[in-house]
Amino acid sequence: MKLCITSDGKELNSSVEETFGRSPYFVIVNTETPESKSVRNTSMQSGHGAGIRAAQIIADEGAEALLTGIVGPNAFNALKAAHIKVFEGASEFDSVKDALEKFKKGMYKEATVPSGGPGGGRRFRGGQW
Amino acid sequence: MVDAELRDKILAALHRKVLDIPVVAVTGGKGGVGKSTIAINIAAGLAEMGHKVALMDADVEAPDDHIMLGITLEKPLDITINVPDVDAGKCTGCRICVDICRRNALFQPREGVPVLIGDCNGCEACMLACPEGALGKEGKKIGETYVSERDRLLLFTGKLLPAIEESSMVVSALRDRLCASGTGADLVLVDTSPGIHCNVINALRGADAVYAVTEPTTLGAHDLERTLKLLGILGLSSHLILNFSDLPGPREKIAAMARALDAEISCELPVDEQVLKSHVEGVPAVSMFPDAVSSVCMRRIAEDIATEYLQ
Amino acid sequence: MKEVVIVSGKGGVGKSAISASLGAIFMKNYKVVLADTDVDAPNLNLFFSSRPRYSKVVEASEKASIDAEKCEGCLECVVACRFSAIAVSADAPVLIPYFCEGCGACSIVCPAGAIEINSESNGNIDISDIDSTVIVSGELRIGESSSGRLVDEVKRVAKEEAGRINADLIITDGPPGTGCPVISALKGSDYVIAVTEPTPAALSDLGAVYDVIRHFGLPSGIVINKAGLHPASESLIRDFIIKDDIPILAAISYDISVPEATARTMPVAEAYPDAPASKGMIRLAGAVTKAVLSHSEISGD
Repeated sequence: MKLCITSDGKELNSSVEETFGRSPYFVIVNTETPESKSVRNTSMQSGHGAGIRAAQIIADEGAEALLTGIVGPNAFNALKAAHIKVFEGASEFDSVKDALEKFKKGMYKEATVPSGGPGGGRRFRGGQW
Repeated sequence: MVDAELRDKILAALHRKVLDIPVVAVTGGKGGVGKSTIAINIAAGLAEMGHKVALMDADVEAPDDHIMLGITLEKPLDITINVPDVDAGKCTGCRICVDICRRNALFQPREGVPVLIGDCNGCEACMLACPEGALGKEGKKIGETYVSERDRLLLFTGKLLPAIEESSMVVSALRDRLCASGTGADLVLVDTSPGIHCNVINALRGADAVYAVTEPTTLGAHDLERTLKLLGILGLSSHLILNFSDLPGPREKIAAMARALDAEISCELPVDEQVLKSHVEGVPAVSMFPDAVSSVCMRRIAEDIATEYLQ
Repeated sequence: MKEVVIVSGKGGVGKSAISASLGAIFMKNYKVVLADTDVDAPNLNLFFSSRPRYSKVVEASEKASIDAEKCEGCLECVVACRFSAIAVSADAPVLIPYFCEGCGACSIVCPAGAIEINSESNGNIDISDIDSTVIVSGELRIGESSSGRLVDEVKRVAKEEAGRINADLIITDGPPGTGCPVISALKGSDYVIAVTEPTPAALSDLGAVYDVIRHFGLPSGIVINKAGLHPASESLIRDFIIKDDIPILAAISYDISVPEATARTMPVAEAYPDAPASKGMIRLAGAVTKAVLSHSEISGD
């Protein structure tokens, strides 16, 4: 499966970025093979609809699932329209590689409803930053 | 920056009038300084003098004039914008609409036609860009306008729907309704929202005179400065009304600002319990307490306006 | 880290005075960032004697520009613009920049390729410090638009600063009304304080802003400011609250100490701690602590 992980860098060793729409990079990995690539998130500067634009970018890359910290409702609805599964709860204290390992162990749950109000993807939880 | 010639052109276009009657606006940078109080009392004062007044409540995010006047909102009309409605039969999946939308409101799934997901502001760029004519128009309501009439006072009220952003479009729709209604009014009095952003600018279009209301507090002085600068940019001359004049604060600063910008303080109103009572009763203070200090002041402004524009 | 946003619908009911006093109270025991999102009339800095440490210009606006040389005068752009931002002057289109949303509809229909959409600066953001507390303040440039996007940027910078100082709380002073800047101010927040005063107009506007708060499903409570100003209206507010099952966080007395403190560049809770209004502010701070901070992460992890 092609899994997109939000990241602050291009590498597997880069840290996970917890917000989807404003994530600097998307690292797209194949969960069955060692194959991976990274895509710059050009939606970061968007004044409006950064989440929807980000969803467009990963849908065009053929992602089948997304792993990130949190997804706002607009992006969630777009991902749903593209049949991309959403997994939330990844932490910036993990590298992309660590998050991928945890994902393979089934440590993240699939989100079925969006977590925040519009722009909610930019919200930070639990005192973590 | 725009050059002087272009600026004149812009201002001429901004202030071009449809109705051949005087327009007077009441505005102010800070909220709660008494814009609506003063607007409804000037309107009531002019009506008492025998003039027919169209009062435009352009504070569309918090319209209160009808409450202060004790008037029920009547004759609602919907304001709608057009959002895209994709015709799957005509859409070829070229994605031009998705890429052209600067609000990133449209999304193209891998299969099927684009879907509208984000906040569409009704700009219709997608419909214009679609080479197949596959995007139809679907109405989306953003607000309402109302017209209520009482004696010689016509109240035009605009109301933005909750969680909708396009307040300036509601102001435009309200003005269009006023202009199209053939009111027979002698004068339009506009009550703007607080602040300096686009819907305030929209409400100030074509004003022959502007009354900027403030209070003598630190905050009132700060916000007045911004309002006076805006009025300067818009080429509008202004009169100043100092409300709640007995509140503590930097009065001299306000007086100096007024002098510097050539805007004189036309009147000072003290904190007046009778004004509050009149709001609660839904009767303008000029009618309910005609002898109150504030009523006398506000009636004088109405008289000044009548002398200037209604002779 | 939690973000509390203060809104009111009606202007002038005391949002900034309450934000400033809450800031002064909370900064004694917590790490706090104050964010001023009333970009039309940013007033929060007027309560504190602090100078900006950092100031930046924000380009959060996009506008069309018409090249008069290329324009053929077909006026298709005038017809296409849904925001009445292009007028006709001497048979040529003239852009009224105040209403342009930068949507690009005009550039799509222009057969001469005479219209471009450009980013423009529309305001600044100032950051200042009062001891360990940070104030982030946005100011819309006069005559500019896109205040909502400027608010987004203020909130982003406030969160950055909150992360830097490891803040417990962001207190966001919101704009009046219910339109785009208010929606931006509410987005992504944890709790909303809705301020009202006992007048019929303020109650009506409270209803309007509550429609927005409910739309976003945000937890909230009400403050009755200038309590005692008109007792009959106060009972109307209480009816509204009971009907909708919204908690009253505090009632703050109508008190001349509030503008007097502001005239001294101080929040009332700091300038006159024993004034009736200050006691109300302290009760409000207590209620906010209970609502957003008591069972949160600040104590340990």
